[in-house]
This record gives sequence, C-alpha cells and structure tokens, in this order.
Amino acid sequence: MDFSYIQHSIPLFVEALKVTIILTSGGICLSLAVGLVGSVILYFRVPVLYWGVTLYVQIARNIPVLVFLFFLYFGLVQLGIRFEGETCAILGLGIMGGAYMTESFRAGLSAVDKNQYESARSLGLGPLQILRFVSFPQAFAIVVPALLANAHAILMETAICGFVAVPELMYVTRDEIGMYYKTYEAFSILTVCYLVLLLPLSLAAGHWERRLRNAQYSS
Amino acid sequence: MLNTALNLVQSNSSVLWNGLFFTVRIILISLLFSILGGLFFGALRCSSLKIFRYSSRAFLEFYRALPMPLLLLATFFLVPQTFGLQLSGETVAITIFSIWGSVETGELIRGALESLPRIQYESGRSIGLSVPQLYRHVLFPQALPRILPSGMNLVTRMVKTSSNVILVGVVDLVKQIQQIVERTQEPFAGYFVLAVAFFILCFPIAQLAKILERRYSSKAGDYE
Repeated sequence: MDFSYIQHSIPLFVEALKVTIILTSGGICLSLAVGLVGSVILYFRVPVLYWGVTLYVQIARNIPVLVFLFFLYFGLVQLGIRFEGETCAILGLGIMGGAYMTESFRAGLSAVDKNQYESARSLGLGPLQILRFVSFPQAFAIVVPALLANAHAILMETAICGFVAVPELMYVTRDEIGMYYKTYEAFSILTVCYLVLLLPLSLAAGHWERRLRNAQYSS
Repeated sequence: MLNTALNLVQSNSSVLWNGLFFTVRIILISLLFSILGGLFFGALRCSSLKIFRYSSRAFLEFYRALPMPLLLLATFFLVPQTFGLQLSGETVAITIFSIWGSVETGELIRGALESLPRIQYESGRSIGLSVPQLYRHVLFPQALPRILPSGMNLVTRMVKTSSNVILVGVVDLVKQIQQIVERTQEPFAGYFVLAVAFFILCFPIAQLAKILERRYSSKAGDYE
C-alpha cells in the first residue's frame, strides 16, 4: 500500500463520489416518478396508455442499461438529439429503473385487500381519493423493501455510466489505474466508497421496514 | 431507419453471430457452474454450523454490495498482479458470473427450503427417511417450483449483466456492435440492433419465468 498515493488521490475520488451520488439520487427520483405514473396507469387500466406502459415495462426489463445508455448517448445524435453525459446517465437510469419501480408499485397495489377498496367505495370516496388515502399508503408499506432493492440496483448501475463519459467512481478508478498503475490502492478506495454509499441505503431499509411493519400491524 | 438496421445485420452477420456466440457461451458456462456452486452454497447457508452460516452470509452481502464492473475489473487486474496468473477476459467473466450465480442460487435454495412447512421435514423423518432421502424425495421436489421462477429471472439478469464484460476486453455482442458502429458511422441503427438482440435473448426467459410463477403459485396451497 502506497499511502502517499492514497492521500494524493482522495480528493479525486471524493469528486467522483459526488458525481455518483448525483447520478444515483437523480436516477432514483426519476424512476420513482415514472414508477408512480406507470403504476397508476396500470391500476386504472387507462385505455391506450395501459398498452404503452406494458410495452415500456417489457422493453426496459429485457434490455441492459448499458445498451440503453449507448443508444441515448451515441444513437440519438444521429437524429440531432444530443445529451450531456450526466443528463444522459440520469435519464437512462431513471427510465430503466422506472420499469422496475412500476412493477413494484403495481404489485403493491394489487396486494392491497379487495375489501379495502370496496369499503372505501361504500364510504363514498372517489377513485383518486381511494388511491391517495387507501390504496397507496397500504401498498407503499408492502413495497418499501422492493423499492429499496431497486434503489440499490440503480446505485450498482451507476458504475457503467463511465461508458458515456461521466466521471463517476468507476471511470475515475480506471483512469487512475491507467495513469499510475496503483491497482491495490485504487480498488481499495473504490470498494470503501461503494460501501459508504451503500450504508445509508441499508440503514434506511432497516428503519423503514421497522416503521412500516408497525404501521401495518396497527391498521 | 429499419432498412439501415436490416442492412447492417445482413452485411455483418458473421461478425454478429460471433459476438452472440461469445455472449451465450459465457452465460451457459456460468450457469452450469452456478447450479453446482449454488447447491454447495445453499448447503453452507443452511448448515447447522454457525460459522458456515455467518461466513456465507457475509460473503453474500459483500458480493451484492459491489457493482459488477468493479468485481470484473478488480479480478482482471489484481489476480494476475498478485498470483502471477495470466487470465483471459473470458475466464474472468466466467469466474465472476459463476460465483455471482452460485451465491444467488444458494440464497434461492435456502429461501425455498425455509419456506417449506416444518411438518414436511418432521413427517419425512418420522416415516424413517434418511436425511439424503428426505432431501431427494420430499424437500427438493417441493422446493424446485419455488426456485424456478426466480432462477429464470436470475438468468435474464445474467444475460443483461453480460454486457459489462467489454470492460475486461471480451469481444462479445456489445463490442462487435461498437466496432461496426465505428466503421459504418450508423450509431442509431447499430445500437437499435443491439437492443433488439438483447430483447430477443431475455424476453422468452422472462415470459417463461412468469408462466412458471403463475402455474406454481396457484398450486402452492396444495403443499401446506
């Protein structure tokens, strides 16, 4: 271990860590938004959009994120659409993750007991009110573990965003190894960085699971 | 656009087949190892010895915590440097995917075995089955339907993750398309073809998983 190298390169990795955090949080937010909209469309079986969302989910689930990123970054240039690397990465992660989020939310919504829906109807709630006050709160409690797993998957996928010239952790590591050939040091820092990123996610997982389990029981 | 894509496929078909062959070969070999390794890892995860249970759990969590590109690249660089072994990119890819597959399969096996009602185990023992017989005739036949759908999903995940092997210099489908795009300057058609190829590989497996899941989940009640 060459500690002077580690000391010298830590600022670089911190910069890269910031980029990875931006990509992850951007991707998670976008995918949650897409997932919410998609699952509501599936839930209400909105005529034409239903097929659109189903098709989108199938396509996004069966194509690697890397391929989609290539398509966004290099392919669309031919049509005159050009993205910044970071925008492209967040879009790619969000759109691909959105399909998984849609599936998770949908599974949660369909797991809510039919009685709940019928009781809410008989109380005179409209469909949107049911969604807002009855279905979603209960569905959310069911799907939180799945959502966190999806978030974790998005964090893992940021490691390939270097292919579209985003200076995230993996990209910087490859760069550093190419320049100094300090492989042990670079990979050690990289591993620590990913474990540090993972920590809040797994803490959140434990916290939410406990809270929501209580919420479910008391209902 | 579609014409360009078709042209691209026709004029480069042998190169594309070659890339597809590499991708599929990596996955098939890894799957074979995953099944064998999964049985072993599943046994560790279910072992009555705490040290095996906890160390395999720790290994699983560690493997899941790190992104695949990191595992691939680290193996590619560090193993030759540390042990002086010459590893080809393909060997690295197969090794990493096999370990990943084993760990995940082992976890599936553990989950399925634990989800079986305890009475199955006890009744099996009480009619005089030995433990190997019990697993062979009672537990595994019931666990298998619970493992298969998630196992299929693992296969599609592996196919999709196989796109990462370009990092270690394997000339798979992705790399071949990249080279074609560089030569022909047709990125839109090229990456469209790539996306379609992966869709064709993954979609049937994903559908099969769904069908299996539906079939077995409607039957699941019979076993309780």
